[in-house]
Amino acid sequence: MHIKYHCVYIVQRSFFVLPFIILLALVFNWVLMRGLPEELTTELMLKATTVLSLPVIFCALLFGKGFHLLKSHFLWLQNIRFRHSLLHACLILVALSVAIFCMPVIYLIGLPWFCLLAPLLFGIIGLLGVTAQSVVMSFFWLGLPFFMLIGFQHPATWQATIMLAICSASYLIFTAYFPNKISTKTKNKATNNRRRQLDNTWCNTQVAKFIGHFCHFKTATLTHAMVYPQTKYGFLAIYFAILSGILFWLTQGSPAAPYLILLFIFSCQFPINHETSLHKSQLRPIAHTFVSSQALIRALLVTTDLLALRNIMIFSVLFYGLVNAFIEHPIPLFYALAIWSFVLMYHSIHPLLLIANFKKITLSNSLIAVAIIAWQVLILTLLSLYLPAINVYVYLFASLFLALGVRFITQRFIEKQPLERVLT
Amino acid sequence: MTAIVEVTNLDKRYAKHDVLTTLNFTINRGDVVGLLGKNGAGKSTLLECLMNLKEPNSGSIKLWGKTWQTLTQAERERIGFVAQSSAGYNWMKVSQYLDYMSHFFEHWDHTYCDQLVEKWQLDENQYIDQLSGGQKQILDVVQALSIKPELLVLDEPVAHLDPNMRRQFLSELMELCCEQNTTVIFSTHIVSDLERIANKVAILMSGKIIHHHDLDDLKNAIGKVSLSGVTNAQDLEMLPLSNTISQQDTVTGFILEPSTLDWQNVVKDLGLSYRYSAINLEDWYLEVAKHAY
Amino acid sequence: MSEQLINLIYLINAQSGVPIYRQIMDQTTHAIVTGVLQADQLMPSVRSLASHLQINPMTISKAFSNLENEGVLIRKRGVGMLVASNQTSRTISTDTTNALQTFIDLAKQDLSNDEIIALVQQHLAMSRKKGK
Repeated sequence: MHIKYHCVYIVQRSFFVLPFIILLALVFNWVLMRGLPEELTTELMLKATTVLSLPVIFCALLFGKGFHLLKSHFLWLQNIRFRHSLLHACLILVALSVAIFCMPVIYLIGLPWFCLLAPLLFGIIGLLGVTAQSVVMSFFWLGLPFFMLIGFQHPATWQATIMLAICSASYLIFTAYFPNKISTKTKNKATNNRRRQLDNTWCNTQVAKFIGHFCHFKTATLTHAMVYPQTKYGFLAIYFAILSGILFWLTQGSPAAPYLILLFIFSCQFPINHETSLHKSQLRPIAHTFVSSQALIRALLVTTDLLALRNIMIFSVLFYGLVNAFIEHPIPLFYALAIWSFVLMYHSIHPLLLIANFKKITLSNSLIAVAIIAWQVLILTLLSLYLPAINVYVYLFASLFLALGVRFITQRFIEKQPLERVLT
Repeated sequence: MTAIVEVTNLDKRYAKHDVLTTLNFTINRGDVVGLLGKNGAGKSTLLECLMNLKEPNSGSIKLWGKTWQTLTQAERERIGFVAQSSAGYNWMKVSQYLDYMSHFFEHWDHTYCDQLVEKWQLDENQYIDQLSGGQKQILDVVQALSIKPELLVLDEPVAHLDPNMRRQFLSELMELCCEQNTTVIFSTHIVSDLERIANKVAILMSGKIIHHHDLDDLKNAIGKVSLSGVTNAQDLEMLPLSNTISQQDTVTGFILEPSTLDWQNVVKDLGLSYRYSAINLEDWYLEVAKHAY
Repeated sequence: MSEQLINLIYLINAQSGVPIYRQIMDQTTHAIVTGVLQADQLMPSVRSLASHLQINPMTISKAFSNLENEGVLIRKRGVGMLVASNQTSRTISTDTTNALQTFIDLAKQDLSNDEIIALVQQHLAMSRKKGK
């Protein structure tokens, strides 16, 4: 029963991003099934396994957030049954991710079942990496799966990489399950780092503090109340650009790359809302200085709209550079129309994201998520299948009018909501 | 007496749970009102409704005779609010936070703010996430007091403060009341603080304000009474006694609110003898709340 | 008036059953009778007393007003509250002193000092309520 509760809690914490990872996995799997020949060389098998491992690693990192939250409970250090049930839940989730994302494709393509080992090991490392005793080691373990992917792709190094992965995963499992066996020095560090362990926004806060040195408050704006500085100044977009670069490098020459990267576009906008949801309580001392609740809601929307737009502009510039560097035949028109559509889509449904509950799976959240995914799939399908036949100007204006219409409805809806619904 | 806050027939519900029920409440200018109630009684909800952070299901709230929609910007900015949980802004330094907040209030007194920061020993260059719980609460209070408010709404402002800091906060609050004739409403569990600084006390129970009295009138009236020689229990019905306990011919009870009845004479007329002892506010609250727990 | 003198005169017990304004009145009167406060001495301002004792200024104003009504303090415009000059010259009559001594001698046979003080305070409180 405890394992089930742990699993539900971890998945709930990942709820909003999980659909995008599922979509990513679907796209990857579709590309693999269409792109791979019947006769598979070792090199192709390795590349296919690498691509299949990516969604599993992303899932593992995502689940790591919920795991980290549960791990910050004092019972993690003091109660062995709590510790073991939580670890069982983590391993079950990794195994499920592998089963869902990898097994169907491996069966359909005819890859050997041995290929399941790599994503399983990388997933375990990605998820259990948060049990590291220091921040530096956490970054090391969390980044290790990606570096292993690079080594895994090449026929000369894949065996060594797998051995390293087996050793790393075994080490992490052993130290997580048997804390008494680790050295006293590490145990003391674990206790001393409890405060850091308890604060799952520690990394974000440190980056924000660094950038905060350069912040100046000349007027009363909500920007500083709503998001950390690094999201405000578009640094979030740079993180995604780096990730995109890695993906481009790993899937060199693949015509599907732009499709995959476009999914990040929404990821540049959406975290603004996730962060504002964490910081909305910061508005309470000043909420009453606004003329009305509607004025406050409108100010919130304008603030977060501008922040998301700034993020996407930065990402778009970087992304275009990556496309030109890595793709032989860049498809600027497709890219431009997709960006345009995604930006309009986000801004049209943005008011609804103000009242989305990022911590629970509710009907309204699910509907919003389904709407976003369906809209994205529609845009990508439309553009990829009918781009040569589309009149660009008609498409531009039609998408603009549609977005304005939807925005009008969603904005009217949100302005009628009570302030407590928006601020809670 | 000018009414600063007027709450009329306020109702507030969370899903199926009624928190505030037909609540009526008035606060006059210059009053310092202490709000008592058990955990989950709805004190924070009431204060957040006063601050327009929560919308009541029905009823009205007026500040200076106006609804929130008709208050001028200047009037809104003269209200200070300290929420129960500290405001966050973990990435900012103390000085950055106060500088940021000052931009929302036209009447922010920078000199006074600096004096408070120095008096309460806050390090201007310290990050907020490095402050203790008590220090964060002090920072919220500094932010609220720096605007020299006419109305101050405090939700358990001293819960995390050490005794010395609590006394300093109360001292500062009293100075503000003298200087600005500030109206204060605060919720607290520390009854001794309420006894010092409040001139009115209110108890929120079962969604309503069940007691709202002048503190001095209340303390003059309340007490524990022990009556001897009681033969007929019905005789006691005319006395303002609550929570009575009978043992043989002795009845012990409490007077829990001011009354116009001269009960001592009534007791004498009944031919009974009595012993009276005064009780403090905490004992009074516990007796009032007995049936709620 | 210095802070030390305020601390000497006033010790407020917020948790006793006696209203704070009453405690201020009693302690001010006690200070006058025992000579800590002299005739025509300036009383501390309501503001400084409120801040120093962490007490609502309205409570202090009430206490001072009551003392003014009783003739213990007088208000002088532009100056503040002063101790009335006729207070310190008050002497206690011989009858009162003898009655007090008789009472104390009798009470000490059955009660401790603290019990005697508590009993006197109780009766004083009751007589105040009657007198209202």
